[in-house]
Amino acid sequence: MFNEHHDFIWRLLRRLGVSREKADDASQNVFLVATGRVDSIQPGSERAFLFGTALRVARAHQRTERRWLLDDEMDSRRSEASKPDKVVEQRMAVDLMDRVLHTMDLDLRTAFVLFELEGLSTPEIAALADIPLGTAASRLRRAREQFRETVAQFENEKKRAAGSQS
Amino acid sequence: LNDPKRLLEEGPTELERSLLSAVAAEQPSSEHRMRVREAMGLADAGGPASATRTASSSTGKMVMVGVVGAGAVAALLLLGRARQAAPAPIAPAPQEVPAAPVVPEVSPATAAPEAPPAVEPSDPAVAPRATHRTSVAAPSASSDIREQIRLIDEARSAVAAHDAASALRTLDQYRSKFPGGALDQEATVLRIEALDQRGDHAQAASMARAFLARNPASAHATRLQRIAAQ
Repeated sequence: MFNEHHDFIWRLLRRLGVSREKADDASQNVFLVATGRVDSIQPGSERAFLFGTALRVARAHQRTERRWLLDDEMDSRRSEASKPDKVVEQRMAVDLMDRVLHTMDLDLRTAFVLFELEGLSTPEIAALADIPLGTAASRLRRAREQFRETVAQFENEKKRAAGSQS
Repeated sequence: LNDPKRLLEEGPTELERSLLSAVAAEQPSSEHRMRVREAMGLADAGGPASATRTASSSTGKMVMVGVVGAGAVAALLLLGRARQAAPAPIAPAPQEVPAAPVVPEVSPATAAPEAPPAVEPSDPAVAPRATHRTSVAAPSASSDIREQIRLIDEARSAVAAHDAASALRTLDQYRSKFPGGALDQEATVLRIEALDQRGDHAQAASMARAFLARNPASAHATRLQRIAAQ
């Protein structure tokens, strides 16, 4: 269970809004809960169990970490000086992506992350989230539209800013 | 219903590609994997098989790790300035979302225990860190979860034995030690059942209805509907 699902759960928690500082402990807690419940997890349902637990943990973090974006940004700036440019750029891109994802509600974000980043199919998302296939497809469609709109807004702002400086 | 093409296959813009690629490269550190394995009692099971595994997702296969366009950086800086000018969060307040999907038998976590401050945060944007603080276990988080599970299991056994008084004592202990704990939802369900067993049917029914209103899709719903209908 650990080897097969750990990285998936960790990435899921991160993309659903758990900060870098909390992601390790959050994923550890997910697996400790699973360890304590291993006898009651039906064979074949391990991923669904972990997914459901991770979703609850992410929701809890969403309630308690309203300021995580700003905190992350400040931490990121403090530590940038000692890192290679590529790493800094990578980290900034991750931060920006998380901000884009954060503009979506959790249902849309989950569908987007599972499809675009984790490579699941729509039926797999529907099964994992225990929702009708049509709902999964609808959430994914709206999430993709919102992603593209938000990114386009950023690009337009960038162009405007570049234009005003020249 | 056919799946759409992934955005990376659909001709993304430079910034879209940068963002999707960047997060695909973000992975937990090897140190963290080891720590969780230790906490789970798997430390001697042959090492972290996934430690060198890259993302199995289609994105992970499609992108070049670490390739981040200048557009992403420029946009991030732009956004940073905008945030300084208007410090309000860019995201809407989290909306109330439907209950989590039903998971087998239990609905474990409603909240994550607060992370212990002693644990050094990982830096997952950078692959395995150069500095190691080996065996930086999170004893308080691990032991807290284990203790929560022990108390809940004890309460469940008492309910199963129709020993409502003992179950309620254990649940009181859980509530005082772990207010809003990771297994709070399960504790509430057991309390409702114990109250019902003790003969406090009205209180049990009232709590069951409130629980079902808050968690209509809970895995515990079926168990509580009978009590709620009293």
